[in-house]
Amino acid sequence: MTDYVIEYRTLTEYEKPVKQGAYEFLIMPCENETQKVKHFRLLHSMRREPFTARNKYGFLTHHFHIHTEPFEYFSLNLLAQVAKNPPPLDVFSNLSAAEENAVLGGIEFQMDQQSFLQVTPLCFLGPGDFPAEVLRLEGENVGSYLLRLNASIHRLLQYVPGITDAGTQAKTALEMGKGVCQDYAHVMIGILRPQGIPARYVSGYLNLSDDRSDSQLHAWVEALIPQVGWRGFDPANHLQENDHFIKIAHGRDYLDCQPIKGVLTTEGAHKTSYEVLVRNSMDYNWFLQEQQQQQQQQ
Amino acid sequence: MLARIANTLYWMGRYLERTEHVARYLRVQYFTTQDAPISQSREFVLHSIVNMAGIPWEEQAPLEEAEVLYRASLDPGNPMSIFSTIANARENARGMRNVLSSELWEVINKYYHFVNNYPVEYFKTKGLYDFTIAAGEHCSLIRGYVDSTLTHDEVWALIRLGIHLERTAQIARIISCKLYDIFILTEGKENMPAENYQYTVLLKLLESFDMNRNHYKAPPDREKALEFLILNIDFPRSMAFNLRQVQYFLRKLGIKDKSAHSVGFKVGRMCSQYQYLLFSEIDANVGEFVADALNKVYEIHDALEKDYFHA
Amino acid sequence: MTQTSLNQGITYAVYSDGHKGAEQIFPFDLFPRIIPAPDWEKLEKGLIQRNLALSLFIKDVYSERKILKDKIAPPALIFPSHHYSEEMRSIRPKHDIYCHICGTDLIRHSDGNYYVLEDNLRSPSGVSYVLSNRDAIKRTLANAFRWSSVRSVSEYPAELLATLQSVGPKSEERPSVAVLTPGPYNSAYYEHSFLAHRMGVELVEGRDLFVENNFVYMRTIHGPRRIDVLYRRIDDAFLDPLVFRPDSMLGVAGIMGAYRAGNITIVNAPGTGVADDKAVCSYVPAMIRYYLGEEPVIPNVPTYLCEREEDLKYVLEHMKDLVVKPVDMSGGYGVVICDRLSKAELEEVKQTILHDPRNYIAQPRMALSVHSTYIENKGAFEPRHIDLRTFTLMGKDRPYVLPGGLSRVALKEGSLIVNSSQGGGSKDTWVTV
Repeated sequence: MTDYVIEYRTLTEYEKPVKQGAYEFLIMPCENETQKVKHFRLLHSMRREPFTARNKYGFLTHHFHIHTEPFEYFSLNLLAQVAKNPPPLDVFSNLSAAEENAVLGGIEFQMDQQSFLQVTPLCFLGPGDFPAEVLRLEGENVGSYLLRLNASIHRLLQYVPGITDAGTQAKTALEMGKGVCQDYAHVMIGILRPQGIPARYVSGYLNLSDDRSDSQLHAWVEALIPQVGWRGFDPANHLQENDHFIKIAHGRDYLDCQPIKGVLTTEGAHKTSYEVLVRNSMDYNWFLQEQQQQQQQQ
Repeated sequence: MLARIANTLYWMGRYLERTEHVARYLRVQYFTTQDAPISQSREFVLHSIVNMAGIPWEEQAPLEEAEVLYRASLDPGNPMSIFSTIANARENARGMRNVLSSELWEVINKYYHFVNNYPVEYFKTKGLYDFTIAAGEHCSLIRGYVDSTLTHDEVWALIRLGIHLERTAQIARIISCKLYDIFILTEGKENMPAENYQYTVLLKLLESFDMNRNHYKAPPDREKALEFLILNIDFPRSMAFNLRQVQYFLRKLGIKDKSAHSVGFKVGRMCSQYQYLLFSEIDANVGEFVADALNKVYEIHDALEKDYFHA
Repeated sequence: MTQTSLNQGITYAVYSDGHKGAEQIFPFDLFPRIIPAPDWEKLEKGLIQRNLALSLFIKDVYSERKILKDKIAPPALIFPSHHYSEEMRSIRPKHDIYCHICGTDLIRHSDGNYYVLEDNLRSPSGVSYVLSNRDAIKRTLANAFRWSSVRSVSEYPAELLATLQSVGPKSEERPSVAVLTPGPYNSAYYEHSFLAHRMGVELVEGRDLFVENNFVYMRTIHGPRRIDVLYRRIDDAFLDPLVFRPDSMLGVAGIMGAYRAGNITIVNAPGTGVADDKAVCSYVPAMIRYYLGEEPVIPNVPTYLCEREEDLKYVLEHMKDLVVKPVDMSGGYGVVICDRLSKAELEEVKQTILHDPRNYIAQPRMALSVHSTYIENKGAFEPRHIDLRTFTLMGKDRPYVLPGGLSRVALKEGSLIVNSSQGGGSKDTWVTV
């Protein structure tokens, strides 16, 4: 088991005061078989506390709905300590490819997994948009195919920060041959779903083993392997999901996993900055220290 | 009552009341220049109108009579003109038709169409008197329908609240403008006949001349005019009277006087002050007193918007 | 009659080019349509049956999907629809009622039978005309008819309120109800305000509402007041800018979260539009058999789904006898009556269909019933095509069908389109006792 301390910081400054605003944050690590949130603290500049809600896939969101006091900036810091167990890495079923196909082709299966089989505009890809060899071969097991596809997509795109934005479609990223984690994920989803393999977009935090700090949230893909279950793949780093991946949420594409959504009434422009820090709390026990300090202050 | 609806009704009352005062100010100021005991220059009167009606005008530019009158009354481009104000009132009423009587809606609509269809050229050359008199009559008619065709419930109370708050503000503004006029005219020197004449004009600007005479049984002067318009508790065009009305309608709406920052407290405090105030106590600095009162009225408005109308 | 209506301000603003939201009067014809009691009894039964099946279908689509797994209806019918709402996968409306208010359009064929043309499950409008028409005709013809022999429509607002109150999120309390309108510039604003007024509930706009701790409140001068049931007259896409269209100024940020938390009932439920689609409509008889094990009381107008190869073939070969409709438009927009077209125009329609067959259906140009209608500029009664918009309410254990409904008349000679937005008029509809 590994303990992580995750910090998500954001600050938005507004040129003119915001009279009314509603914000939804989807940044809290979720809880599942491999991860558990041990502590968390949410610090912010608003006068009222947020309330929580669940989104359509059951993930926890934090809401700030401000309609009384105008404000000119909004800062929010999430500090969370998460215990992570290594997720299973096995991807091979005991089924033959034909048997896997029978599962994938079943109407029951298709109807139950429909949300993650339907192609969305962000991940739509036409047959001519990618080289044919990234498709599943006849007789190829789903597990082996996913490992192969993960590697292929890693080669298809070059990782260039800032080259794409939140609205970039998989097709555009492929045409440029460049993108960020989100684009890798959309491309992989766009290839998997039309072949009947359910795939979902995952947002989360990634602990990079070296000293590099990933200043953004990460994105990867979960695919459903018959008999095996959902397994995570990170085509941007050519990795399988391991205990360095801390999941926030999944959805059909980026739009279901946006970390911040806001609707506000203001006249001027605004400037937003984000920062994401992931630390192994074995190496950095400042989190505990800080907590103690805070308790002393209280 | 929804805060948005309340705000719309309140503003409808304010807008309607505002047009009447602007119209009357134009007429009285303009026509009293004709027979003044000392010659008031045209320029002087036009300045006063520009001042009162809040017409944007370049500092040094010469004031052109027809243009000043047009901008104050029929100009759709001036958000402070009578046209813009009645258009706002009508727009507010239009969205509220399900809570107003159709008779009330019709008279508001009629007023709007009267202003909207008034021939501009005719107005500029000879329509001023006719137009401003009719505007006043439309306003009286509308107030009559407010009182006689609406149930005396929250809807009615909000319109009346707007009317009386606006009237308090307008009386204060008109007094302020006139005090300024007098200051300019006399240039600080004693000139009793000219000054007294201006106080007569002030009373006429608020249609208070006859009642003032009935009350004091003597020709008006500074003290009689100002005391009457500021402190008389029975005269419907005095500040004290209208503040009491504001207080009455706030209570009617269930808006209670609680904390020192509440609307009810602010209004209640002003009402009590006016009730037990002698003119001699404010005589020396009446200009400041009225300016301060106007600020307090605006504070009452702000507190209403913030605490009750959520605008 | 025109004068009476104008003074009352019963208007219907039309979306078309030119200036937006121009107020247009909805013409009303005095000569009523009469439906005998036995005919109506059957229609009433059929409409309730239909509404039950539709609610079960919508619930199934958003939960187990049995009807699709059992291959009674094809998935291709559901998932590409604009009105399918992924949000509803994780929400179960109170008492599993999805379409609390349903407007089913019927026509009477020359064979004397009624057929269903389509179901309107999103925000069916027109009921205010039924009530106003009745008021107007009573005033005008007070002495000419014996009212005891015609079933009353005046209890509709009370029935609607009871329906809305029966689906409150907390069964033990009497819920507070509000009507959500897009505002005075909407074409049906008159109806929104009419219904709110007659029910004695607040008529609110999105900006009057806010969400705190997953409850919905309206801003009043005396502070926030909670709303439990929202009869919304805005489309799904505008309901919640945090979930659907982020540019929506008409909705309430966070309302879907409140709905998911079970703290508010939205009427009709979001996502009901999935069954409102004209292609889905053709499966309603199958749904009735599947969910209720009954035979449909009212048959459908035969419908050809262009996405089915054999239907498409038939449609392309028999264009002249058919009316082509886009599946997801309402208000008569996009409807093409093919025998009126030139060869070139026909070819164009064919190409449009072939480009996106899923998006089109065709129906035989059924002889819509004709009815005597007073034509003002001719000063005479003439036969005109009419249909019947019915209104079915479904609360908890309380189905209700408004006796009669809105008979809509195509005022243009020979025209088949009766929608008020396309220059149709209306008639009072009398169900005999």
